[in-house]
Amino acid sequence: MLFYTLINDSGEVRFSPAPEVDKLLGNVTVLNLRLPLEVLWRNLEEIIHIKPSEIPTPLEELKSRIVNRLKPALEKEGNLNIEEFEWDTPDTNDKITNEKCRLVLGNERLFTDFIARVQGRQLAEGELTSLRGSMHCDEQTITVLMQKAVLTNHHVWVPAIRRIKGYWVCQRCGSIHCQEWTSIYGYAATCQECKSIGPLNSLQVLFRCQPLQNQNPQKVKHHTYPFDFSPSQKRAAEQLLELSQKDGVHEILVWAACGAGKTEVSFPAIRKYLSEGKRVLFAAPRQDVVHDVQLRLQRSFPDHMVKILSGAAAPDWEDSLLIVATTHQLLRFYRAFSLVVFDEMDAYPYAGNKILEFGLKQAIREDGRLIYLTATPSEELLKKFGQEDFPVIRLPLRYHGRPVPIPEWIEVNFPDKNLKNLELSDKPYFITLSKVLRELAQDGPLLVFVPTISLVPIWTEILKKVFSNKRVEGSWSSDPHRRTKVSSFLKGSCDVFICTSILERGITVNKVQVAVLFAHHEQYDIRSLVQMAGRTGRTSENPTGRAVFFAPRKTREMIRAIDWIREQNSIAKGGSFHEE
Amino acid sequence: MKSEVVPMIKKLGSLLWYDQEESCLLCSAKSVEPICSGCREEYFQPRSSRCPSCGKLIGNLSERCKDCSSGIGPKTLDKVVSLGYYGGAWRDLICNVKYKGQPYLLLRLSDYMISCTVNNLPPPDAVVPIPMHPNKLAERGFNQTEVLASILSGKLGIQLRHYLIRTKDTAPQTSLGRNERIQNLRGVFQVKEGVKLKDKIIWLVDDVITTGATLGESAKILKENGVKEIYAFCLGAGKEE
Repeated sequence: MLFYTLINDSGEVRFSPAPEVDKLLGNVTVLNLRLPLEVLWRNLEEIIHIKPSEIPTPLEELKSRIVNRLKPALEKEGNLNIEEFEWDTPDTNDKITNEKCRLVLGNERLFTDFIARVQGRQLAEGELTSLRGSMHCDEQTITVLMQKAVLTNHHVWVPAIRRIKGYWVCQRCGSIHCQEWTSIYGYAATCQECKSIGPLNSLQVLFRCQPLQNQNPQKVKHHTYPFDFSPSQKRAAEQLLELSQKDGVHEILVWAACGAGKTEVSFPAIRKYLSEGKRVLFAAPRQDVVHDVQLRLQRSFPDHMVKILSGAAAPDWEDSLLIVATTHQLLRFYRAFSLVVFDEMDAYPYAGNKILEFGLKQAIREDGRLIYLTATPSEELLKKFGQEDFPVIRLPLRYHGRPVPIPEWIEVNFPDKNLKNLELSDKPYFITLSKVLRELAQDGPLLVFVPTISLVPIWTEILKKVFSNKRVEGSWSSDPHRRTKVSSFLKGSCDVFICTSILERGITVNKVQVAVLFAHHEQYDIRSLVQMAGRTGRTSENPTGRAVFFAPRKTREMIRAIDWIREQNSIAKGGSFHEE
Repeated sequence: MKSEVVPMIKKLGSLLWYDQEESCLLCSAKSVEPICSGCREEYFQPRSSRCPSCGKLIGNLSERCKDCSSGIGPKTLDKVVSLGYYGGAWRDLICNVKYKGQPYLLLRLSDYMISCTVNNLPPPDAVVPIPMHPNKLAERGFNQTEVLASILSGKLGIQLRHYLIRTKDTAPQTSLGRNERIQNLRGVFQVKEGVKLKDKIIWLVDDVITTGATLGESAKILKENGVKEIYAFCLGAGKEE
């Protein structure tokens, strides 16, 4: 979208994609040149920020100052054919007509409908097509509505990517990981970090909408939950509910053991917010988890529509109080939520975390609360929490009251991390390995983790030979058949499943036994080791199981992971959490 | 301390060795080349011939595609080559370049573009991109055909020349049928004033060819102004089933 430069009577400079709207709503003069907002902001920064007392009079001086800044900048960097910079020329045909503007501006119902759909969002240009579709409007109508909202409702236009101190910074995700290229306006850039929800470039804008109003509190029927809280869950849930209402507390960490039932612990707090008409977002890192949590929330909150947002699809435009989304969807919102429940934030690598932190800050209301749910809080979280304003609720005991199985280490001298040779049956290490794997598989479905994608097909082949009479499958994140394979394992129609970290978190399989091959690999840190081991013994019917780390040596991360689980178990056992 | 330093180093590393460099542009599988061998096979179909009149992928059985044999294809081009079949992931990539502000992706295709042109077309005097209307160019901020032409020009040392201008902002060709496309383009292109075209050999560059209306019309104008031979290169073309 391109913008015109405008000056009003008092010398205030602003930019508009539809200057006719500005003209109808006030007295302005327009520079007849459309440019990307980023180019205008960058070159006219000082002029936009002039103090009212320093605005030159007559305005002619301001006008020529603007032209004198834009002209050399575009001539130097860009490849534009601009003959003349003219103020207040008659309308050109690419402008929206006066008549059209009057028609749209006069339609108050349309405007109210528009505001209801966009409030609390941060719209990229790519999302406008779907908005047009949902409102049955043409492109010009939407542009007029947007500019009206900017002038009357404090919505704002922001360049999607800005050049700040020599870096391109994405205004949607905060990343500086941008690819620069040459446009007709000079250098431009496209963000590489948040591409997955639709690529943004610096010639585009974001339309940031006014924070949402809370809805009127509604009397919600008090349904009982379709599950029973364990005593320790109940205690944690009550504590969380109380803290989530307490003044001065903006962030709460729920640190639970794997399999403690931490998701449900957040439900009473969520219920409280919903009953007050406040918006709640439940964010989780993986699509599989999002779909699972949506079902659980919908069952517990039958009076509300629990919406799912995931993937690159544009969001639909109906309002809903409770949304479950993959974490990157945060970037589509602006000051929208009073409560955000953030599941397993540590599942992301360092860089990903920074993006999500940025997204959180934008998506949450200024008075909003944030609840982190995790079994393996990162160092950063642990450093931050524990003080009065950042309380921690611990839930070290599993739902069924039994401890988390302690992982074992079995020494196996893998010859080569990237082994390609499948003829290994006579190697001594392989005899130990296959013996233990067979033992494990006798007790239940076997989940085998390998550190890299390329190892998945290799070990699937190897283990097909070891378990010739069992069903063996392998999958990884970008495997096109991932969904069906994973669900076949979860349903129990597959006995041995080889995968990367895709099943490291969030899944529960009755009787499952865990084997981590190459447990010494740098890919595995303490958190992923704890999570993988935490897949075992999760159901009340079968609360035990084995998790085995296969590695030539015991690494620091393995030792720390084993200690971590021991410590959690001993805290759980230490009286106050123990269940009768 | 270590916990902070290690991810920092990894991050710096990923900035240096830009992580996408190792994966296929089309299917994201690990690949040393920008496009993996599986996708090259699927979309470039190196063993399948191109219709010399319109670039369509035609297998090996016929000399020309059905449209061109029956005389409804473009007639003003001396030969057309297309890099791949405009469908699936190859089409997605071209759309990502055009509509999602990622012209830099084209740089990674340069080796494929060069072998496609050099092996199939005679050397020209100039490479000429199909121009965009100023209004559209202003919105998009770049012209993908100009990026393609400048890659060929830069790598092969051939002059890049903007001989053509587009005087009308037309409806997108994609929404139209064959006859409407030809109608839609009538009088759209002009030769820039003062350029000398007599007896020149030219490579015309466009991103996609379907009916050949755009390339045909611009070639017609160029030939009317004295150009001797016109060859066309595009990234994507249709396929005859």
